[in-house]
Amino acid sequence: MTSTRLLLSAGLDRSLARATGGSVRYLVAEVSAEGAASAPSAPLDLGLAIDVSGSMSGGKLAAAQRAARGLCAAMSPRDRLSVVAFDNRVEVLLHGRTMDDEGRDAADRAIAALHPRGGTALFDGWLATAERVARTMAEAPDASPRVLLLSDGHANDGLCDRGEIAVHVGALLERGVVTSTLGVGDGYDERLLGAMAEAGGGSLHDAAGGGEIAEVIMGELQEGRSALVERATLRVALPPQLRAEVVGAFAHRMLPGAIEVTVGSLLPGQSKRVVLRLFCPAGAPGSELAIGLSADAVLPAGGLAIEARPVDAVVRLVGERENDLQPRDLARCLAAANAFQAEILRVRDGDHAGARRHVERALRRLERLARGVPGAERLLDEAAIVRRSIDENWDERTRKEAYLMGTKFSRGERDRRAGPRGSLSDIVPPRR
Amino acid sequence: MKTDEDRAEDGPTLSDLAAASGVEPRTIRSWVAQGLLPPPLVLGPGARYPMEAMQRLLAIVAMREDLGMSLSDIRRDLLVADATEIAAHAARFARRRTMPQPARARGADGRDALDYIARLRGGAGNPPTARPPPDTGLAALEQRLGGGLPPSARRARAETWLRMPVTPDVEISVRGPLDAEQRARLERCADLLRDILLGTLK
Repeated sequence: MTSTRLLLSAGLDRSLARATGGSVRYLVAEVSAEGAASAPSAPLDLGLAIDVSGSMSGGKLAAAQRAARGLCAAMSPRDRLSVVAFDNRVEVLLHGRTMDDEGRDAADRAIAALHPRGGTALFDGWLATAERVARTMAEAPDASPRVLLLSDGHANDGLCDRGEIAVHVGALLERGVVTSTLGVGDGYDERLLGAMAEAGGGSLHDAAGGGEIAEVIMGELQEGRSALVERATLRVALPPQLRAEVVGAFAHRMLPGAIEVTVGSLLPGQSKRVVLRLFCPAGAPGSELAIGLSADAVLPAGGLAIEARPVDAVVRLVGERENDLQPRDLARCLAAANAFQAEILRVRDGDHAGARRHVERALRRLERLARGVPGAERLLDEAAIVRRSIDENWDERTRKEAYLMGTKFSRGERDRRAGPRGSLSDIVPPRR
Repeated sequence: MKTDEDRAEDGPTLSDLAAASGVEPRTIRSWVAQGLLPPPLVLGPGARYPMEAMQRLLAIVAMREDLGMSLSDIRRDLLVADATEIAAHAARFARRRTMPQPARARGADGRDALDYIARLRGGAGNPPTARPPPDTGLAALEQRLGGGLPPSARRARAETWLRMPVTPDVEISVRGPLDAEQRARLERCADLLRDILLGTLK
């Protein structure tokens, strides 16, 4: 019998919609877990996939090696570690060693053998690491299997398509393997690493310099140890006439009559908010559109499934006047505005016209939602900053900081760096 | 604008229906024969069913297993159920799927992580990805107008006929093509007819 509980709540920014159709409403679902803090954490089955392409030379690889050694020292003898190096070929340096004294010595030797080489077969490196972790998982099913991929570049060898890679990462999450990613420096592909972490139920991390690699890796270890549940999934069952889309940084699948959202791991005190934009159809006044929400997850130790108590949200179709007079739920408006903020920061892509149009659309929605909502001033200020710099090219570091900020903010995750950036105005350069 | 053939390509196959519901394919075929489910849009191997067949099937399973209803009672209830009520039953099914159970770290295809990776390395092809969501707006209306029924034999004479289900036993057939407004008017006629037939006219 587990004392860990999965909690789910949901509600709408406004619960009435025009019977004549065309109303847009926001459904905000909140998923969290609670459990005994003293519960022993599950052992970790961790796989490190380390990019050793030529671009990792010049200090980044040395920093990654130092961080990996620090990780070994912090792992307990119950934990297992695999280390895989990849450039345009893949080399398994350590397979599922328990981190006792002997295992640590073997890991040290493996990490010392890392040296910069050629291109970046990122998918192959991830796959080989996931395979090592899966093999260890088959031998020790009570461990919590995780892959952490470190890369400073773009996939340029083997499978490179972001969508296809994310499908495979999601498929392995469904089969128990969590994936987190760590982008090193300013040259990594934040969209690919972000998509992998979202589909993999883990976190996207960023390390601008060598020193931050260790902070982030230790943070990932801490997350792996303290997660109350993993592989949390939210399922939203929709009536046939109602169209919905997910806003923000969550991987999801559209199923017949339902949307399945990958929420990922949940730490004590962490709440993940998923925002859905609903396009309400026309219907008879007084009729209702019932949306059913359910969530499930697995416990890290032993993989026992738990589920949250299902909840419903109902949109009622009414006449024009009644619709116009209804109050807004300000907290949910703010949550929806936050989700749009995340989209803006993640889509912001220099001079790309499509991205710019998307940003402008999202800005308009954000401003509509945030107007008059207490606590939304910061969002409006940041929206103004984005609008001012919309036609300027951001440098790579600014773009990565913005992407990471949007992702972390939307997913309710912590920036694991010792000196996380405060707000958008700290990272966006003043207008020239 | 979607044709019947396009719609037929979008719909679930018998295997999709069986995988999503856990109901044996032969049982699904028998429910089709009993009129509980709409027939496939096209016949033969790989036949595809109308999109709404999935909701209806999940609703039937939930009504049987959660509410203990007989098939004849389900048939009677579905005769008068509107789309919202069917969706509510289907939502109950979705919840049943997430009841606590020992986690099997396997995908819907029954493969574990190592099987999946081996298959990937063997080049056996990618697992099926989720189908796109049901169409909405005009396309959804068209789907609703034409869905759930086999293509009209009269199409062979190069005429377009739209068929609008009123109840599972009554339909309206109209020779097209019709524009969106005409279809919307027709939909209101079908609603009125439904209310008259079911005695729910206020």
